[in-house]
Amino acid sequence: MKNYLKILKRCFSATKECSGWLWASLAFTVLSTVAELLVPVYLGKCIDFIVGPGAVDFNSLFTYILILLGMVVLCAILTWLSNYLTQVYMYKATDTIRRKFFVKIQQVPIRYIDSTTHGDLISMMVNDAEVMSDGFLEGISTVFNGVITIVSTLFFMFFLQPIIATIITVLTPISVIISFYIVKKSEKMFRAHAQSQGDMTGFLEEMITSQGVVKMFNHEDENIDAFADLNKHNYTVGERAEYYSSITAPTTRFVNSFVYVLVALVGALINLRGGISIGVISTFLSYANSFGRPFNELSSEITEIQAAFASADRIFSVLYARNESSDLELPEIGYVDGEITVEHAYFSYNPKQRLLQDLNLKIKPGQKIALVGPTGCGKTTFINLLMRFYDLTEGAIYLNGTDISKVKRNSLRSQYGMVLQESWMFNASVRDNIAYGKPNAPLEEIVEAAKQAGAHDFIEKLPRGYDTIISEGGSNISQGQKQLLCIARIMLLKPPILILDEATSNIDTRTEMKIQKAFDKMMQGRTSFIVAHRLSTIKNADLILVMNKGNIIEKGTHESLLAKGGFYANLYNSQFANTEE
Amino acid sequence: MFSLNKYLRSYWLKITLGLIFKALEVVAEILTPFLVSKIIDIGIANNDKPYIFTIAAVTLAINIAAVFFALIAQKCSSVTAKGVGRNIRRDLFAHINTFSHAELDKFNTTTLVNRTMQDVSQIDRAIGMTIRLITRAPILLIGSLVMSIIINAQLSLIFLVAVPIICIAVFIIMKRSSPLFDKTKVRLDKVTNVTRDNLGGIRVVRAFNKQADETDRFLKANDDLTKINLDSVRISSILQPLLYVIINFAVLAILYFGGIQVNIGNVQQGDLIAFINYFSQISMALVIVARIIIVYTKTGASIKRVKEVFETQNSLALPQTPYHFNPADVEGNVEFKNVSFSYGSSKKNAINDLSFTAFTGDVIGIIGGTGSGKSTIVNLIPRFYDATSGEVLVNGVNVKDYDPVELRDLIGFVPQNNVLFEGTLEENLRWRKADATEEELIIALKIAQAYDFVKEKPDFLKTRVLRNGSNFSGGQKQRLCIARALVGKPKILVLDDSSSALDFQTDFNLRKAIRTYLKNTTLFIVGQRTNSIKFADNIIVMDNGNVVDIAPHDVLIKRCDVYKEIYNSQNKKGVK
Repeated sequence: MKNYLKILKRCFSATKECSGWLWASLAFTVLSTVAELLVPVYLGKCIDFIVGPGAVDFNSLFTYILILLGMVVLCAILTWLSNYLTQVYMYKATDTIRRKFFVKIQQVPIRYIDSTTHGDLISMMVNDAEVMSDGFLEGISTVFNGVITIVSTLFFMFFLQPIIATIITVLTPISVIISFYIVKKSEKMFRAHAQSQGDMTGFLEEMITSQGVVKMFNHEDENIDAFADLNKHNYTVGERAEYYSSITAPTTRFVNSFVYVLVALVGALINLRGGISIGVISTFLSYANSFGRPFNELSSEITEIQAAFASADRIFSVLYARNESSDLELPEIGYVDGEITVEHAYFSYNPKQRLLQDLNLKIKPGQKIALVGPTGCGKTTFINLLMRFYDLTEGAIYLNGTDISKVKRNSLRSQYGMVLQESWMFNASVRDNIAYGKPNAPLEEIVEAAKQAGAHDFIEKLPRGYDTIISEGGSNISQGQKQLLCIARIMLLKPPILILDEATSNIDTRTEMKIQKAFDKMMQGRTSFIVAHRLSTIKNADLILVMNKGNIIEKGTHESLLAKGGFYANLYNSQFANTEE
Repeated sequence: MFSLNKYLRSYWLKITLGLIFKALEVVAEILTPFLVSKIIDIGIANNDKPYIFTIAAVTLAINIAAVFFALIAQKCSSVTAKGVGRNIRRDLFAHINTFSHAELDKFNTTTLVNRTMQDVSQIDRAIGMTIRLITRAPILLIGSLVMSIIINAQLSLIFLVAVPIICIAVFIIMKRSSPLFDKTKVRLDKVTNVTRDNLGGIRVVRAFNKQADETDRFLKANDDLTKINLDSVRISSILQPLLYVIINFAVLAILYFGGIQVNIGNVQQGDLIAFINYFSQISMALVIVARIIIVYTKTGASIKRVKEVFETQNSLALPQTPYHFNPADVEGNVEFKNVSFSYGSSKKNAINDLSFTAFTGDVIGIIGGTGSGKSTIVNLIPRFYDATSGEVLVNGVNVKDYDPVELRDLIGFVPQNNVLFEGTLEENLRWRKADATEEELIIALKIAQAYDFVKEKPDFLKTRVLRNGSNFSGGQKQRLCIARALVGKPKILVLDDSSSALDFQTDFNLRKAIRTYLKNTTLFIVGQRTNSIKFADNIIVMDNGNVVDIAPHDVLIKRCDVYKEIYNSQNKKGVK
C-alpha cells in the first residue's frame, strides 16, 4: 500500500505540468455527475404526474419535460467537457512522461544503458507510458466519479426514503467484495500467463532468428514439439485467467439485480402503507442502477489499475535512476595537445570482478597507441574510461595535467574523435552526417573534410552527391563507405586525440587497405588509440599495450615485443604460422 | 490455407452451449424489469402482498439461475477462445518451420513473433468477446423491442425513430476516427525508431555532445504523435454525450406520449417505468455493438496478418519421388554447373555463372570481400535457396531431387553467426545426431578445439547454455558451433566464415584436426584470411558476384590479381 502511494505521488510530480488539465477535468466530472443524478429525480416527478386514465396532469408534465430538456442538454455539455479534458490530460501526461524518459536516457551514465536491454527501454517508452496514463486516468476518474456518485446518490436517497436507501447502501458493495476476491484469485494466473507469454516470445525470437541453423540440422520437429509444450501451458494458465476475470461481470450483475428486486419489493410494501409514491420507487430503481455503477466500474478496472501501477513502477525505476554526476560547476578543459597520463587506475564493472588493476601510463602528444588482447581483456573498457563513458573506481587520468573527472564531460569528449566498429549513420543527407559534430559547417569545409578522408570521390558518384539521403540503417552505401564518412566526420572537427575501436573489423582486408590511407592521414600529428584484433593493422604503432584479464601484461614496440618472445609474439606468430600441411 | 472457420468447427459444441447459456442469461436480464413492473402495476394496484412476494421470489430465482448460466457460458467462451488461439499458434509455428530462407527473408523475425503472439491473441480475444457479447446485443435489442411492443405498440414507435439515429451517430463518429488510429500507429513507430536509434548510437551521441539535438529530434516525433492523439480525442469525446442526449430525448418523448396514452387508459403507470428501462437496455445493446465493431476492425487486420503467413508457401518445390541413398556408403561429391543466383527482388546477381567440382575429401576455399557472394555459394548446397539458373549437384544428383531432410543430414554447417540454444551443452551438441554417444561428442569437441574449456566446466556436458549462448565468449561459441556440426561425421562440412573469432593458432589447430579426423569429408571453408584457406585443393576467388578465378594457392598467387591483393594486404610484413 505504501508502495502504491509512493508511485502515485511520483506520478503526480512527474506530470505536474499538466495538472491544470487534471483539475479542470475533475471539476467538470463533479458537475456532470451531479447534473446527471438530478435527471432521474425529475423523471420520477414526471411519472407521478401520470397517475392513470383521466388523471394526467398535462400542465405540470409539460413544464417538467421542458426543464428536463434543458437539463439533458446541460448534462451532455458537461459530460463532453469532462470527457474531452480527461483525455487531453491523459495524452499530455503520456507526452510528458515520454519526453522526460527520453531526456533521462540522455543523462544516465552509459553504464546504465549498457546494462539494460534496449528492447526493454523502448517498450517502457512505447507501451508502459501509455498503460500507465491510461490506467491512472481511468482509475482516478473512476474513483473520483464513483465517490461523487456514491455521495450524492446517498444524499438523495436518504432524503427520499431511508429504509430503501439503507438496503441499497449495504448490499451494493458486496459486488466489490466479490470481485476483489476474484481478482486476488486470478492475479496469480495473470502473472503466470504474462510469464508464459514472455517465455513463448523468447522461444520464438530465438528459433525464428536462427531458422537457418534449425533447418540445417533438420530440427524443425523437435522445435515444434517444444513450442507445443509452451503453448499448452500458456493455454492452461491463459484460459484460467480469462475465466476468472470473466466471471466478475455476471456476479456483479447478479448483485445489482438482487438489489433491484429488493428495492421494488420493499418499495411496493412501503407504498402500500402509503409511505412513498410510485414515482419515487422509479427514482429509486434508477438509483439502484447508478449506485451500483461505480462499484461495477471499479471492479472491472482493477486489473487495468494494477497494470498501470506495474508500468509506472518500471518507468520510475528509470526516471529516478541516478544521473551522471553533475558537472555544471566544473570548468571547461583547457588547451589539450594529446598528452595523457594514467595513474594507479582501477576499474571494475562489479565489485567481484576487477577489470583494470593499477594501470599506469604516460603518453606523449602524437603517439600512436595500440591495444591488443583477447576478447574481454579490457581494451574497450579502457576507451570507455578515457572518454568518461565510465568512471574509474580508483586512481586518475590526466589530459595535459588536468584530471578528467574535474572538468565538464562535454568539453572533455570534444577532444576525441571516435570511429567504432559499427559506423553509426542517421537518416539524413551525406552532408548532414558528415557535419554531425559541427552542424553549421559551410559546404566547402565539409567537402574538404571528405577529400581528406578519401570519401569525396564516391560521394560525387552518389545519385545526389552530398545531398543523397542515407536510408535508415544506411543500406544504400557500403560498410567501407560508411567508415569513410565517419572519418570525414572527424576530419571536420580536427580533435587532438583519436580513438579507433575495431574500426575495420567489419571490413574485408582489401577494402581496409584502401581506407588505411585515410586513417593514416587522420592520425598524423594526433595522439591515437587503436583497438584491433588484426595485428597487421597495428604493427607500426609507437606503443603496443598487450592486455589480458584487465592487466597490461606487456608493452613496447612491435619489434621489441617480438624480440621478447612473449604473449604478443605468440599471437603474432600464430597469424603467420606455417599452415602448409 | 488459413480459415478461422476450420478452427472454430472443432469447438462447435462449446460455442453452441456458450451462445445458448449466454442467451438464457440475457433473457433473465430482460425479464427482470418486466416482472418488477408487474409488482408495481398489479401488486400495488390490487394491494396484493402475496402476489408481490411471489413475483419478487420468482425474479430472484431467475437471477440466481442466470448466474449459473453465465458461469457455464463464460467457461465455454474462455475454453474456446484460448483453445482456438493455441491451435492457430501451433499450426502457425509449424508452418513457419516449413519456410525456406527466401520466405524468412521476406518476413523478419519481429513481425513473425508479433504475428504469432499479439495477432493471435487479438483473434482469441475477439472470439471470447463474440461468444460473450454477440448474443447479448441482439437479444437485448430484440427482446426489449418485443416486450415494449407487447406493452404498447404505439409507444414503441419512438424506438424505431431513436435507434436508427443512434446507429448513424455511432457510425459517423467511428468512421471519422478510425483513419486517425492508423496514423497514430505510424507516428508511434517513428517515436520508437528515434528511441532505438538513440540507444544504439548512445556513445556517438555523447562523444559528439549531441544530446540536445537528439532530444529535439525526439520531441518532434513525440509532438506529432500527441497532436494526432488530440485530434482523435476531439472526435471521440463527442460520442458519449451525443448518445446521452439522443437517449434522454427519447425518454422524454416516451413520457409525453406515454402521458397521453395513460390518460386515455391504454397504458399503465408501471408500464412507463418498464418502457424507460427497456430503452436504456436498447441503448446499452447499441454501445455493445459499437464495441464489437471496434474489436472486429482490429481483429480483421490481425487475421489478415496471420493469413498472410499461412498463405506464404515454401518456394522450394519438393520432388515428387525424392532420390534416396544408402547413408552407410554415400560420398561427398559436390558439383556446380553454370550456377547463377539472385536474391528475391534484386536484379543484380549475387553469383554469376559458377562452375566447379569437388570430390569426396577435397578442401574448397572461398574468398572475397564483404558482399562478394561467398556465403551465397555454400547456402545453395543444403538448398537453403534454389539456384536461379544452372544446377547444384550432390553425388551427381540435383539437390532439388533430394528430400531436404536427407540432403541436410549429409551436411555439417557452421553458420557465420554463432547460435547456441537455451538448454544444456549436450542437447546443443546432439542437434545433428540425437542418439550420439558421449564419446562422439567428446571427439567432436576435441576436433573443434573446444574440449579444453568444456572440460573445466564443473557440469561438463551438462553445463547450462543460456539464451543465445550468452554465458560463452565469442570464440567459445564459435568452437561449440563447429563441434555441433562435426557430430556424426558429416559427408560435407561447411565453415562459413566461422573461425573469425579464433586466434590464429587455434584456427590452425582446428584445420589440422579436421583434416586428420575427417579425411573423407568434403570441406568448404568460406573465409577472409588467406592463411585459413591457403592449403585448400581449390580456391574460388569471388569479387562482386563474379568468379574471378578458381585454382590452388600456388597458381593464384602467380596469376590472380585480386587474390594477390588480398594476400598481400594480410601478409606483407614490415610495411612502415
